[in-house]
Amino acid sequence: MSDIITMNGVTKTYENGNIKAVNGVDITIKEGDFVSIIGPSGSGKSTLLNMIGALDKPDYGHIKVANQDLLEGQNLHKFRAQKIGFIFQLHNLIPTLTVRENVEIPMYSQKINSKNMTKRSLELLDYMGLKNRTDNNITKLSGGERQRVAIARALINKPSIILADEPTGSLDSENSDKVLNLLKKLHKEQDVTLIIVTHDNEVANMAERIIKVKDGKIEE
Amino acid sequence: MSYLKLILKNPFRKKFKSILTISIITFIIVSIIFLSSLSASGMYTIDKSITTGGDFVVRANYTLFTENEFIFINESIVQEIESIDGVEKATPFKETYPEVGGEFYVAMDVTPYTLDDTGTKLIEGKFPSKNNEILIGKDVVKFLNKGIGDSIILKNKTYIVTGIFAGNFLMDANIFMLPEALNETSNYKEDLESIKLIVVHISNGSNIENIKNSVNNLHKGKIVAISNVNETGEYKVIYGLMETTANYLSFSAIIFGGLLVFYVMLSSINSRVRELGVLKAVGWSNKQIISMIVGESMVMSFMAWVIGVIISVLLIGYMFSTYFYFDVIWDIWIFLRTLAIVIIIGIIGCLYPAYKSSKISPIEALRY
Repeated sequence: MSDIITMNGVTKTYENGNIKAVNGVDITIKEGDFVSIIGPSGSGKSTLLNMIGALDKPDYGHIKVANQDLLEGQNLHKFRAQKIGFIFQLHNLIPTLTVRENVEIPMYSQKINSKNMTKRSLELLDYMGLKNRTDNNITKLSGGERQRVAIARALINKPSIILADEPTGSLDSENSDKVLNLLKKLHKEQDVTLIIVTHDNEVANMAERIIKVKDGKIEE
Repeated sequence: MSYLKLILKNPFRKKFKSILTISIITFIIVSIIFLSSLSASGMYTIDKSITTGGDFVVRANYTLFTENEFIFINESIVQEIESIDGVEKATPFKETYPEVGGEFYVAMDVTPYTLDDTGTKLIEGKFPSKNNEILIGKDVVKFLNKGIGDSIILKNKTYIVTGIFAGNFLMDANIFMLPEALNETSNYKEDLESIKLIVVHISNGSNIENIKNSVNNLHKGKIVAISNVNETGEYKVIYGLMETTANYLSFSAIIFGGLLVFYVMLSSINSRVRELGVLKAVGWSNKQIISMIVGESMVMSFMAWVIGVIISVLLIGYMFSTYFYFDVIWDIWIFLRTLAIVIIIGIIGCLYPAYKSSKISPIEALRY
């Protein structure tokens, strides 16, 4: 399998360089890998994830994701729309929209027609076990169901890479297990590269490869 | 779900603020359309009626009236007008202003031969044959609730209504009587000493403007020839004032409405910072986010316009025929002007919020 993510000497600082959130990190991740990034709070793991997802740029170093040089890229929003699927800890769904409408949100950036949008979103929601909830408002769903909607949203544009930042952080154990099993199933069946950021060893151990982060550095 | 549906839903997240904003803009739109239409319809209706039954009319130039000078139009002036090249006929009318039921009406001396010159026709009954008989206009019928055979008291004398006339907006609220009968309805001797209105007919092929200029040049401008409403003093002022008010409202609407929309949109952006961060994270470009914000602003403004137009049309249709007796003129430019106003309001209201939303950092927004 080819390398899908390469980071060389990546450093990210704040407060005029006084705080190094990420310090000289080198990482290579192959296509189709299931990787967990674990570390205590403030270790820089979310910062790493944001940089892989082109939400943030390093101050030093080099990042290449899915053949896109993130430091030279102009329209990174297009890159995110086509290659990256984000799953956040707090699902971040839009409360005024229905389940289906939330899943379809990333498709607007791809200018897909309404009919195809509906078809794809319904297929995904069926896969997620939410076939009967498509027209419900998000506020009527449980925490676990909302996270499943967020996963569907992350997959809607068929990305190469799924980035999940503490996806079970706000769920109870039962729903956490359901979500994690779903992510494992997705990784196998949809052939995506899956990267999970977590501070939970149990969650981290589910991955094929674990990257440990402490004080902005890798302890692999 | 289509992009349009998304834009239609978002403005109503803050229901109270959005509905209040739309209501206020709607009220302003209704006011502008109503005033402008009143001005346009009033001007049109009067313009249609102002020449009564002739090609133009001649009146004293009221702008020259002073406490010491009352302009008299006598028979010699009528003859002077008739002697102008191109004038076929000049019919004089005298007027008095008797009071009936607390309101003053215009009474005119009309004969069967001069009725056509008033621009009206007998629609019911017959022409007076005695000095105690009168004709009333169709609007007088409504105002006084009188009909044929009823009596009306003018200056303590009883007159019987023998007929009803109609056909000219400016005449339909008047009373017609025989010339001898008019003398007894006067409050002031000046009323009967001066001719108040001369209806002029010109021959085919004559240049009306030249003839009017000739009339205006008689007696140093003390009399004035009128063939359209813009040549009148009083009507032009009244309707000009309405149009000026409508223009002032338009300007105020842009400022006030723009500020309202700005407030609602900014408030909306501030309450969904995280959501905007998510949109950017899932691949929305700044351009898409800006167009969404602009779209939401336009939805509010356009909605106000549509509701305003509907209310205006219903209001105008009812009020103009019930209270003003005008011909309703539907001028497309009045509606297009208000459409332009709401578009400007929408743009002003969303400029800064749209700019602000495009500058939101997705990472900071997701931590919000």
